[in-house]
Amino acid sequence: MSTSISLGHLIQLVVAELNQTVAATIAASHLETVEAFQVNDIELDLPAHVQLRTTPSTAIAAPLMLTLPSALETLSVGRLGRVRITIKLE
Amino acid sequence: MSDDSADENLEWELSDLVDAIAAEVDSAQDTLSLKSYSRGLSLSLKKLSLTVEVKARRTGDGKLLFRTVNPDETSATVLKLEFDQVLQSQLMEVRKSFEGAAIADETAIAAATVDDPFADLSDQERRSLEILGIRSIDDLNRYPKSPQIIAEISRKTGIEASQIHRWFSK
Repeated sequence: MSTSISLGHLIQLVVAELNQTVAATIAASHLETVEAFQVNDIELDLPAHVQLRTTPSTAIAAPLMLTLPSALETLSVGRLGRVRITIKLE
Repeated sequence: MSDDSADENLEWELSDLVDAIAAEVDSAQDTLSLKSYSRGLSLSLKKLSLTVEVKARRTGDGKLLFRTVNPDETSATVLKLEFDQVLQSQLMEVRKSFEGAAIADETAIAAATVDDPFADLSDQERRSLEILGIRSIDDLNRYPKSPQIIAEISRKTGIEASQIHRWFSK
């Protein structure tokens, strides 16, 4: 079964998730006396079907929905698009 | 993907897609900024790239419309979009000014919310103004206030030059 998610929600989820992990890594590196490697940029490259969907109100921008393919399904004839999100450490 | 979502798959102009992506990114950044008060934030979006297979067509009135292919379709047209982070200095050049009175009373807030100078325009006129980047009086005031500019805006939008002149005077 494929899953749909808006682009904004996907970014929120990914950044929030990575934020916790990276914050924990940085905190741990401060405790150690040896130099530690640190995450700098994170690039996420996802295959997805992209659709601009209708909204009930024209005042709101139509949501950009990404449908992520399921690993359990055989892909149909059409090719998937790709979404590449690069996240940086502040 | 269900047939319902295929039905909802809109045709769009390139600007619609860019607007939608910008709105999604803004919404995500706003939420993350808010969240940073409680959780701290050490990550932010640096770059976004989108590669989509689309079908393109030109309408009778000269618009170029795209639609992303549904899962069961294919197309030889591929659209690639890349968004980079805008530097603060670049943003300052185009940023709208929302500064007004330091303390807004209820009347001022109501006026700013309700007073839409373009309320009487048709959708077509409003859209042709938006194509020129004019969504508010502030946007209009970025244009030089010359008779030639007023005439040109009038010609491109179909709005009376006298009306545009009145907006400039606001």
